[in-house]
Amino acid sequence: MARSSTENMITLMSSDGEEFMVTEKVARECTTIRNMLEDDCVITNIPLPNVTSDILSMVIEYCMEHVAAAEKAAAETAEKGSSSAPAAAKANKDLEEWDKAFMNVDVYTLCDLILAANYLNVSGLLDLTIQTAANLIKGKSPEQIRKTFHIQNDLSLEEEEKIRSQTPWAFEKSE
Amino acid sequence: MMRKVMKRFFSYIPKKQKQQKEEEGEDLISHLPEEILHIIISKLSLRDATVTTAVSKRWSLLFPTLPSLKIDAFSFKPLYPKIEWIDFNRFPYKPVCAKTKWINALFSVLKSRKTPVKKFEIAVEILNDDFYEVFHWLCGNGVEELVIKNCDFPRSIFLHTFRMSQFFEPYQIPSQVFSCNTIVKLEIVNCHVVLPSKFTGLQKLKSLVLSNVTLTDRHLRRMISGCKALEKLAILTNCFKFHNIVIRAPLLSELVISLHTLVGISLKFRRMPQLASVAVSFGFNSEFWERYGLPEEHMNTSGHIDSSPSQFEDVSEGNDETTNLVSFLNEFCGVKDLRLDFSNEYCMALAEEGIVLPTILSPEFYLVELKKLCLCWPSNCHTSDKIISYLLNISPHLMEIIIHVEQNCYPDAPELDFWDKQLPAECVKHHLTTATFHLDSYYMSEDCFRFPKFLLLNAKNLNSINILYTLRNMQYESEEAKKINKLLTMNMASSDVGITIKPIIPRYNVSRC
Repeated sequence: MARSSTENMITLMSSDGEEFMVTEKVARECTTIRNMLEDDCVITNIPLPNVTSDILSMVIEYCMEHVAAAEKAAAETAEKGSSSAPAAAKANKDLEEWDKAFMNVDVYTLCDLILAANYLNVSGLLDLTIQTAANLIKGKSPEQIRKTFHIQNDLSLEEEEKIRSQTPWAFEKSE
Repeated sequence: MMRKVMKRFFSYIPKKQKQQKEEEGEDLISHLPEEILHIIISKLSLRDATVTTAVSKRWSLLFPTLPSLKIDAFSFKPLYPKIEWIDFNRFPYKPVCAKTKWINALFSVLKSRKTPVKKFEIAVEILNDDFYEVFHWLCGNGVEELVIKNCDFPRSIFLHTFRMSQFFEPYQIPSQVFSCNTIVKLEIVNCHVVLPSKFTGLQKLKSLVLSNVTLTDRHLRRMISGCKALEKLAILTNCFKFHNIVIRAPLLSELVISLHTLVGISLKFRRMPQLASVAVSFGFNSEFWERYGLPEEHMNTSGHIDSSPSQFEDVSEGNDETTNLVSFLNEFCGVKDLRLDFSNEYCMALAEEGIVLPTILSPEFYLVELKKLCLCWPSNCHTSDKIISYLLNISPHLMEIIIHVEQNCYPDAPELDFWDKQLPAECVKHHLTTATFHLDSYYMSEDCFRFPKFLLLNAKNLNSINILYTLRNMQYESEEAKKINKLLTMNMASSDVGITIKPIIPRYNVSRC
């Protein structure tokens, strides 16, 4: 880990003024930041007015884990000359498990993460969070969806009845 | 694990009031931008997506404005109740009541659209006149990407086998599709195409995929020459009703084509300066089955298109596969990236003829632009070796070669000095930098390494040689790698060649580790 001194460090500043120092490699996982760095390579301090500190720290955690996994795989290949197939498959599975555990958050955090991943353009995280949100909707009734996401039902009884009658097949109880 | 996040808090920056999201009852998801909510809804089945319309006012407008719809047999209520995998013995299994319900559900979804559908994909085998309205509506409302698959998803995997194609009744594409000037991408699977007499071309079409489609030579020619903006064209699987294909497409850059034989088929490419990438697969060869006496029921499957023998003779240039292959390859003189996929049947047909490829070549046969060549064989054979050497000899600027072999049995291994006699070609001496071999570790023998070894000995600019082998049993990983290493030990022409030996696990094995 001695190379940390030679590696470029970037400071990311959250909307509430907290600073996070990360390696350039981790910061580059965010396409938005990568583009900034490519436009102006001397930039070292990046304010992110749309992301709060707790969400930014989670995004960084995600990027670090994925960078570390990629580095580990690359190091193994370089060491042995050839990568070991079962090890690579296991590493992939481990990362998937990690993602799954990482997504064990409440719906508020999930929505904030979606927004942050979208703003910072972290495609892996955006896919993961959007899929998680979709999974929370799958197989549920409108009532259950409202409860899950705390959505206020502002449809009048008649309006809701009309919607349901247009596509009755969707609201039938599945056997 | 490196934890390099250093948190520092700057006290002089006033900490904004923490958002009150933690307070119970705040609806954050509804405040996400519409594009994101659309992506979330696009990940749901159409049934789940429809349910979201009854959640709230905002949600009631999300699914009806979704720009893309993807529909298959399982989109609504299952079209085939309670089956987890298709039971081939009970084919075709189509309960009528479920089918009517399914179509009604589709119409209710289309009726609820508040904005035009830009992307529409349908994959069901029940396409019939009922769907006329669907396509009429889509084409009148600015559809840009249209995929019409007249087959069910699980079975489409098997479409490549000729027997499967017998199950499907081709669906005739409604004529509105061919007068729709908003279409950019069009994919048609297992359908019948008849162009309207006043067809003037699809002005915006950039990508056209025809798979198992029946249409006449004349209609294909009119179709392609009418689509002046065409950049990608794929003619796939069992489109074997063509005899005389002339492709004229000034902007075409990518071509994928699968053929069953070259005898009796004439392919001409005209005015295609942009064509850079071509993939050809020589699939099931109807001639082959005829010759080797396979079931007659599968013969003469020309269906709607009549292929009169007179037309047949007019267009055929040579009457053997080898001559035709040589003139066929000659059409690709401007191509940079070429992939050829040979089936067992096609190789056998070539072997039967006793394939003899020309050895002294005039430069007019050269593929001068070719940089990357990918070849796929069902197994190594003398025929494959001959074709490799021929291609290397006509590609003076080739930089990368990739060879896939499914099985390494070598029924007729070439004599020891085969490669020395055939080659070296210009490209091997001067340009070839990368060679990749996909092998099967099961039948690996010394014979399989003759060509890689030949390259190591003669290719002066070779940077890397990759041996990727299919590994069926994890326990033998190190053994296999050692075996390959031993087979490759030798003197090399270039001092800095990187040799990578890497196992590939077949899909069905992954879960076990």
